[in-house]
Amino acid sequence: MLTVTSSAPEADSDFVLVRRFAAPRELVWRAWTDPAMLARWMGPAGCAATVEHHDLRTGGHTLIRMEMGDMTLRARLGWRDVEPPALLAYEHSAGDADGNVVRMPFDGDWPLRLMTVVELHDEGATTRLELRWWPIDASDAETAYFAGQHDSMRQGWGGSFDKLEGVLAR
Amino acid sequence: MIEAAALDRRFAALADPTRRAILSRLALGEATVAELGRPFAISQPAISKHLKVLEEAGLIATGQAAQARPRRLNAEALTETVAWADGVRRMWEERLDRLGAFLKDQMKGDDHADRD
Repeated sequence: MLTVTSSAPEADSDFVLVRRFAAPRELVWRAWTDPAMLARWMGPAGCAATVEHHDLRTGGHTLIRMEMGDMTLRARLGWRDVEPPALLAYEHSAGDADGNVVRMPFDGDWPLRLMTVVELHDEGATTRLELRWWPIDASDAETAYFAGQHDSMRQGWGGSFDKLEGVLAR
Repeated sequence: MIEAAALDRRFAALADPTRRAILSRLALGEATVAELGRPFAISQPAISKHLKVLEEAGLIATGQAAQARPRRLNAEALTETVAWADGVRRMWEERLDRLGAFLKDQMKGDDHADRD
């Protein structure tokens, strides 16, 4: 294990989004986990989405078919952690008809699986959603996540790009 | 457009705090292995290993000066990687916009609907 003496925790920025919705947490949870609801907003605008498979538990996956003109794409949500009504963690990738993880057929720079963590915070009539994601690579990042280094990974991405960009822009 | 495997390598290289710190240092100007290692409580071979990962990912290059072999940042590779990350962020922002619109619709049909 490496020790870095000079690094301080960095604020999240590049790989986190925070939103408040004027809806109770139970409803936001259902929007993410009820297949009929999920199909209505997850896919790109103007595409007809159908949930072909839905197995909401660790190790299960949800497969969403999206029709855009002549093109059919599938989003695969591989569930890693499901803690109603507060936490969802899943791998977001492209899928084939059998639910296997595949690379996007047409886009060379969209090959990666994204680890995605959704936290829902109950604020009475509203819900604060915190979304974090990062590209994963089965060899190390995934392993690290399940080894409980989740927090350090979260922190790890934040701010680095901003700082570097700031320096590069000078 | 970045090739998929190259992008994988770049993100793997960037996923380590020591390597990001090294890049931040190189963004200020080229530096030798000894200079790069100074802020860290790790051995020079460990620093060299990090530099190898960064170099294989195309994020840094090694200069020609015979003895010192200073490393420098490959700003273009980093910029491409940042652009990719921005694309993912935009996709999520749009998706959460749609979620917000969907929730609003649901709340309209609800007895205790709140207006914002």
